[in-house]
Amino acid sequence: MPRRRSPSRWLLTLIATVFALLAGTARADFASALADLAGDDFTARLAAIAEIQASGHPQALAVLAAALDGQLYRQRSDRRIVILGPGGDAPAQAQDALSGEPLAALSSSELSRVSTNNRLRKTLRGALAGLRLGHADATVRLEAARELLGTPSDTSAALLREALANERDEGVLAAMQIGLASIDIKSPDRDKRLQAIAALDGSLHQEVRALLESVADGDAQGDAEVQAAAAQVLARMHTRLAFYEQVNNLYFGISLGSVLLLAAVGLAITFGVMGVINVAHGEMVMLGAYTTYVVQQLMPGQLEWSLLVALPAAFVVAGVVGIGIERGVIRFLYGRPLETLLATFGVSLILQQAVRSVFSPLNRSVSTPAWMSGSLEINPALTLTYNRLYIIVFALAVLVFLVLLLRRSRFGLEVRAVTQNRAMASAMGIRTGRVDALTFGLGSGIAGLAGVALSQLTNVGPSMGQAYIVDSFMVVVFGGVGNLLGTFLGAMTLGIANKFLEPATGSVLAKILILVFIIVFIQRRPRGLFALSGRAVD
Amino acid sequence: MSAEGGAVKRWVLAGTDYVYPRTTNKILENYLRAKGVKAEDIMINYTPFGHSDWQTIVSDIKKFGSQGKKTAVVSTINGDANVPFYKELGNQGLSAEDIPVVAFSVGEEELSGIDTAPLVGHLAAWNYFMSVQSPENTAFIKAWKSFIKNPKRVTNDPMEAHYVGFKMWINAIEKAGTTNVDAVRQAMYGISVPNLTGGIATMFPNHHLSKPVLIGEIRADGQFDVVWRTPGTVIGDAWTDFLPESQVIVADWMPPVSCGNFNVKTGTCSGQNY
Repeated sequence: MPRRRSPSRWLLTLIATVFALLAGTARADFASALADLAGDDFTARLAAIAEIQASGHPQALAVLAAALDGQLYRQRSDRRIVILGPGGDAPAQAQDALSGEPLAALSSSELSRVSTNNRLRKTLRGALAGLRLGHADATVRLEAARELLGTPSDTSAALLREALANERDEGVLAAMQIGLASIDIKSPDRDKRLQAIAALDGSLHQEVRALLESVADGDAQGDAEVQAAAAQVLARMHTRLAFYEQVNNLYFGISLGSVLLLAAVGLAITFGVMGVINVAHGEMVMLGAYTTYVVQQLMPGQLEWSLLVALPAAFVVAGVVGIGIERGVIRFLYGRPLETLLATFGVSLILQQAVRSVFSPLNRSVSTPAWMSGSLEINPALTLTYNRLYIIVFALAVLVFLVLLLRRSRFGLEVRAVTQNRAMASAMGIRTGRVDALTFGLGSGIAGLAGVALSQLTNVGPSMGQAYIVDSFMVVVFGGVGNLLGTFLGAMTLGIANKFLEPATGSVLAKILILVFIIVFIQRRPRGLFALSGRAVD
Repeated sequence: MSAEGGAVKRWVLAGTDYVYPRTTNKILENYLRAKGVKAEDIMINYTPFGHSDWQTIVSDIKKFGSQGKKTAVVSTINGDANVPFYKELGNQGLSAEDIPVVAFSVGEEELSGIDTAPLVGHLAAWNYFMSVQSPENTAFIKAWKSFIKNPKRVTNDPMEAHYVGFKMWINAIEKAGTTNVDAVRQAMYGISVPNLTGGIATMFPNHHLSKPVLIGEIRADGQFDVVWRTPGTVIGDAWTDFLPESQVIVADWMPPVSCGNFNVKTGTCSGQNY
């Protein structure tokens, strides 16, 4: 009877382990265990399996696996044990079972197979999985835990319980618990089933959900109480999963908001200071992305540092081009917004075509450094991708930098003065022309920084700016012109709203609804969320 | 769906929102339902051109694919949106072994402009791959590279289609003895030219060619490893048999039918009669 044999078998394992530890010469034990395994005494063979499992010998796994597959042979002449490679009867690759050394090809007449029966095979399987459960490599342990699912038995359950006590790795621990519970949930013992269901309460794995759903649908023994218990745990699980899904959506929304923020904040400043509608703003983003590409081409070996080098480079490149546009085009169109719009549109076309001619009309490939790839798993239901995480942090850092610049520096003071009342600021001695140029440079530089971030998320091509110009204007109009807090809140609101709508309506309709919402909002509050106030503002 | 392919039970049909993916997915959905796939095992999703924020959609695919049934994605996503899509798949930890993506619009030319690291192991279905070994293909690639004066340029399926089509047209002109469009057209039916993958392309009276179908796995260098191909060539079907309204229509441009949209049930031609 399985129950009565179990404790004696475990006792045997315990003794074998102690012996193996105390004896010290594990090799001698292993060799004798191996001889026993290949011998005729059935009880000795069973004991030998346990000994081999406990020995910790490097060949233990290979020997047990070979025995299970029927690849373990004994040489008639010198009773040496060999393992044959896969290939059936022809002894193609033979290796010495004790040392693992490859041997010359042996003929089948020399060898006699070490046979197994059902009982031995079952024990072998358990021993193998048990060995793998204690393996140094977590992936092997994970596989072993999952494998024990396939051979549900009291033995595997016991093995899992033993390994569970010592397991440190989160993933393997979870797999072991699930494994145990999945075995117990099919147990004929009603209490065990209820226990298993209780143990699964709190799990967030999709596999557990599928398991609970099948039990709630129809318990194996038709027990209504078990079904009800499973249904309860399932309901709790659904609530928790739904909560984490909303957290996920919030994260997506914040990351979209941070992208919008980066793209729009430069525009908010230039629009606020000069009232200039800069349609070439998207191209500043594009220039920043191309700068990243060039930097990566210039330093091919240092991919990890390329982004950090590209940040100041992109700021300078985009900033210089911005100042150039201001001095070259916009200065002459002061006070004429429509002409400025047309002129900057022309500049954006020129920039796009310049990039097409210098680089190529095709997209350029910008590689992602290793520290930005992959994701952070908080729990099975919540995974945060690293690239978005870094971009959120970066966007907030840029925002803080801008706030400090505008509030604490002399330049910031001048910018704010010119924004509130240009004529008065000029009368106070501020060189408004210089402030204009530098502000435009700052706004474009920030757009360049946005380009570096966006190069990691999307394609880098000549027309990549076009995708962001509309979004930038949307954020600026909604949040209020010239106001950093407004831009921040506007970007976050739009991003989060978009991402919460998307699961329900699909991405196309979500965008449409957001645009409709902004149109309606602007009818009520034409100045946006945070309107500028001041005597000269009209 | 075969065991070799991974015994896929759940399907995600993701496409860009325009006529080609919409029609393809319509046909695919009918085909899958006809093969016994349940409606809840099919997830269809459309995105605009250039869509770059795939977080929600990839997260949904991940959830859809972890219900215990092997899931695959058939992607008719066109253009720029592909890059952030594959990047997001990689970032959220979905490998090609977990949820393979077979794309209809990602070829060597598209791969040449992007970082292929997140795409390795995913699949594409075309009628030609640059990596296919054949004497015609080797000669063609050599000629192309010397013509374009750039050893890094690649060849792809649309180029092979051009090659085959042009050769057929020349043959038809020689057969008809004139460049008159109608004469050339009539002369073209039945003409065969060798394609670049070691087979023959023949023009059929429905104005479609016979082509082989190859499924390739993306390599890190932007080329494809062919993992499956049809034993011979497949004749192009002008009107799909998997949609009930198209099932009854054939295209046959030879007399007496001479119609591209001929309904065999009603015996009428809804297209132009020539």
